[in-house]
Amino acid sequence: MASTMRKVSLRNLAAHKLRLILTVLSVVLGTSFIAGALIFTSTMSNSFNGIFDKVAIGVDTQISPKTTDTNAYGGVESLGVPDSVIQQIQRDKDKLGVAQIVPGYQSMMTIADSKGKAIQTGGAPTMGASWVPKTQALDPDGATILPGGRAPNGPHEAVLNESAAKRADLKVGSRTKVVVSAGNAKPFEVKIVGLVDMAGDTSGYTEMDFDAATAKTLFTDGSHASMVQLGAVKGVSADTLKQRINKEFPGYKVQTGDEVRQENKDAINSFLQIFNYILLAFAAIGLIVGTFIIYNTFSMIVAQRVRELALLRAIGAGRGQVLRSVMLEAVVVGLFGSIVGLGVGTGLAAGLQALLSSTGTGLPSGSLVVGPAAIIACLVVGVVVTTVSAIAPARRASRVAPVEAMRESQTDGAASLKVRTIIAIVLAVLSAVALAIGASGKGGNAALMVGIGALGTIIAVVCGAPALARPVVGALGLVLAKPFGKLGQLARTNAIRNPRRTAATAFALTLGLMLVAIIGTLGASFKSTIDRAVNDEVKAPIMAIGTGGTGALPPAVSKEIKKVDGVDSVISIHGVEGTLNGKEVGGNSPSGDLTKAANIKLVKGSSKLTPNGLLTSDKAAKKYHWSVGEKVTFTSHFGKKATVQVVGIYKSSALLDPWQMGNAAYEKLTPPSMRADYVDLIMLDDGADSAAVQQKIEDATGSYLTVKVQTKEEFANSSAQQINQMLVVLYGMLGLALIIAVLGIINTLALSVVERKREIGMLRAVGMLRKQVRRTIYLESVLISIFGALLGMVLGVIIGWCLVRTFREWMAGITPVVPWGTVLFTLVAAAVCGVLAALWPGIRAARTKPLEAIADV
Amino acid sequence: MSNPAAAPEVAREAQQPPAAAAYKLAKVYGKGETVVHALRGVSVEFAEGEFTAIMGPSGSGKSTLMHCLAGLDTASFGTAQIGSTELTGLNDKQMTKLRRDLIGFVFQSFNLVPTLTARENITLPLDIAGKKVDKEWMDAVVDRLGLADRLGHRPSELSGGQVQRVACARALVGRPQIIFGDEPTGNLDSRSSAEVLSILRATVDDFKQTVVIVTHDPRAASYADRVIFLADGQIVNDQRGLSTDDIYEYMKHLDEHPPAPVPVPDEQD
Ligand SMILES: Nc1ncnc2c1ncn2[C@@H]1O[C@H](COP(=O)(O)OP(=O)(O)OP(=O)(O)O)[C@@H](O)[C@H]1O
Ligand SMILES: [Mg+2]
Repeated sequence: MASTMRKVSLRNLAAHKLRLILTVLSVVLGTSFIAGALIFTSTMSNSFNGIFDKVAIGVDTQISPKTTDTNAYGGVESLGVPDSVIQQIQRDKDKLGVAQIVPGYQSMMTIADSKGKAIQTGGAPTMGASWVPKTQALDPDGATILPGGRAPNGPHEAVLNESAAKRADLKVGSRTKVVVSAGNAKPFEVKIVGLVDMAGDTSGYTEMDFDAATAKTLFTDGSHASMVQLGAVKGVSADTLKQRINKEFPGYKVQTGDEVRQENKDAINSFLQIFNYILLAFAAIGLIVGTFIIYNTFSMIVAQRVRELALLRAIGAGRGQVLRSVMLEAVVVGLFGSIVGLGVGTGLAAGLQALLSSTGTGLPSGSLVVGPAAIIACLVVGVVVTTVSAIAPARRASRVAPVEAMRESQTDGAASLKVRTIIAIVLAVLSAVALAIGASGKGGNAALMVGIGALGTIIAVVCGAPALARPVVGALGLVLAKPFGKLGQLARTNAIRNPRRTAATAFALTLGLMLVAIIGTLGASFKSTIDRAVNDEVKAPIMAIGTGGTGALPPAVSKEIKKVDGVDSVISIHGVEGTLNGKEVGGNSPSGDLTKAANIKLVKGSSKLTPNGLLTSDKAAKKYHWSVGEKVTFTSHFGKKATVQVVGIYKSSALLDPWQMGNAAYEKLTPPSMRADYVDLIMLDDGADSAAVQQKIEDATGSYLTVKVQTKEEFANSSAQQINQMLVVLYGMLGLALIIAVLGIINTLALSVVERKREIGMLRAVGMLRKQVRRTIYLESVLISIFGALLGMVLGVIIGWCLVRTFREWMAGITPVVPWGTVLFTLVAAAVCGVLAALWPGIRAARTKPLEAIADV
Repeated sequence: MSNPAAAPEVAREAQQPPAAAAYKLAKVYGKGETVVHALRGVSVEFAEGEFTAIMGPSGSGKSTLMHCLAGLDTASFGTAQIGSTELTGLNDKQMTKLRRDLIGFVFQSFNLVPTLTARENITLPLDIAGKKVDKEWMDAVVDRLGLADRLGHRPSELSGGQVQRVACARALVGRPQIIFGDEPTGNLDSRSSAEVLSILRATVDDFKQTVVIVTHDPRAASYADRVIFLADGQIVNDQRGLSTDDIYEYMKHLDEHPPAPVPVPDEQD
């Protein structure tokens, strides 16, 4: 009997190819994202590792300042290694076992392309560095100047990496403008004298090298090196040299070449990890939703096979045999689906890679790495999820009574929803309480509470949606299907005929769109808060911001702006970083009287910031227990100290948090080569034509390549746009949710069309036209979709609303805003998806022959 | 039974055009080795206002004939017509509209949409067509069928006999040219069966409705004005005014002396 049952299962799979394809498809959806995520990240990390394998070759020991983040994607927060260290090593060369000393000078910069615009790197950094001639290089096979070029010499010559030159359309002999990001440097022109083939010369990375003396003056304060690389004499190992140097200079970071390479790799891998997490989050959504589709499919398959299973039971098959036979089907489907998923995932990773390299993102291209992790994760997850999803339907199948074989009607969906609904109600109440508690508080714990509430809500939806489906879809049907008369009524009754199935089908939309609504609410709230803050708090009609790699403005820019006709004054907001009682803190320092450019709502003291004074928001004052007249000492990363006196306390606001430091103190803390401005607030002369002056400022600062001049309104809009860019992930999620939802709806509808074959045939016999059959299916699908979307939107907006309330801790004055536009768009999109999903099942249904109503089975 | 007619005889005495007719209708299933001749050139006319029963052994082509006549299936050769409309050459849409507007159906099982109430099922063809329901006629039909207090029920809440009566009501309410029933009482006990048949009988008598049913039950066939016997895809007898006993008698005769196998008609005909 066992082998017979196996034969029955396998024959079943083979006999219902459509059903098989649809079920497999739902497995493929989830697993392909897992495979795609893992393959993509390991491919990327493999190609990055390949690049970093070539970094720091020949370096036995590298000395760099402790606070410097030496990875390629970080900034410089320290002055570097002082010349005195280099001199000391030079002196003790023999004692230490050092053969070669190569100091390096580097910093972020901006380079113009042949059209005078900043070279686009797609997120990769643009670095300026010192060129190390072959004769001095630790790695004789390292960076090489390509034939036709030569090494740079003097302050107006430079070499550029080959791929960047290609992107920028620059050649040997071209002249172009460059700006160093930090310090007081002005833009200047350089001549490209050579192109370099170097490690890391990939799609986005841009590096311009100058001779060592030029680089030193450009990129450091003139008495430091960014780092020093050492080569050991024969007989002294890298480790030995490292230990000796470490002993000699304990205040610095000392690494072997291997460690430098590893550090680079680790940094890039943790950067890639973010990609991995995003993709895996997508995979999780895909799988969770996929689980419901698989569950739905197996439920329907079992329902359709009730008579067959009952017959098997009647002729003596045991419950266990029936259960195993259904589970065997699940394992076969899961395995097959995962294998296909692996293939699709590989394609997905390849596509993503191609997409990213074509959009000029600074990611290298390399051959795909399909590692064992991806294969195992994909197969295991696919099979486990499929079998788990099939357990409930399989158990139901095993409980089919033999008499069912003789019965006419189908009994699926008759089981009570009572237990599920009670669980849902309890969970919903608890979640509501959690959400309310979260929303009434602010900060991390409140947000966590909201998160718990959100999770509870999702589980409540899973349990309670079937009970909701009947009344909600019924009501929706009354409104939406009314114009379609009888067809509408048929669609409506079909949609609520099996609420379990309707709810499971709609779940893909509910979950996906819930996330969309949450993020959409956050976005809308941030945007409106920024809008309001800019309008209320900023007096300056025009502002300038930096668009380069560091996002900062070179301090020289404000001097250029001041010279423009029609400009009354410019107040630069400098960034201040340092430590306070050993803790990292960051704030601002305005170059002039802030009250001229911004509205400050003073709470206590004076709003007049003295050179060694500190204006603080009430929030920061509370946090640090500051009161007016109190003295506070900040320490910079470079060991400098500045003591300031609190002169006033103002009301905390979105733009002016957390504190403003007087200029003298700022200059004490920040050496000139480290200075940069966040923003320049520009006040105009009375009666000046704002648009004309804006144009003039743009012309005056154009040579800095990375200066954006905006009106207050434009600034608010572009800040909002930045938020919108972060919301791109959201739209990816929306897309995925919609795709899966469409597939799920197709699946459910196609199977229920098969299930309702006789009924449809009968309707055709009594005169329903094909197009009427199709329309009924479309309407049913739209009702299911809108039900799912509505549920997701309502819950998402509520959760988003609560979440925004907790953000008051970090962003003063933020108030929740419902993104009506997004909600409306999403509902319409869901309806469109409903129709799209119903196209094929509709056509299949319309093809039903009237005779199929009469024919037995 | 004195006339075991070997050749089919087409009824010609009706003055008006027939409500439905078939001429040299043939239906072939499959090809080559597995070919089945379900109908071998059947010619028959169904007069307006007459109740006809089609009988014959299993596999003799009864259902096939009815399906071809009712526009549910297309014949391989020959023509079928409803009223003056030829079915051959109609596209799916025209055929569907014809079924909707001119034909009523009562099937053996699965007659009603399970999610709709009895009333909604009855008016379904009219609703689909977007036509107004003739309230008086509907009430008359429902009254006649004794369904007045059952209209709000779902099919699952009705007995088998009631379901078939609802199906009859659905067939009647659109005043079709002709009602077809393929073993409409096949699933019913003798009492419910008698109920349904007398209702069909009454619609013929009272409303001049044309009805054609397929049945295996001589008692059911005795309600009809005319009984047509089919064997091996051909009409082997066509008589009026038979009693239950006559029909039993003839069936016995048919079992003992099955009609000689007839050569396959020339398919190019
Ligand atoms: N779809 C089909 N494909 C192949 N052969 C068919 C098909 N439908 C019917 N037949 C064959 O055509 C012949 C006539 O079938 P039909 O259904 O008309 O018989 P019937 O007289 O209605 O029999 P019953 O009393 O059992 O319902 C039978 O031999 C049957 O096997
Ligand atoms: Mg039949």
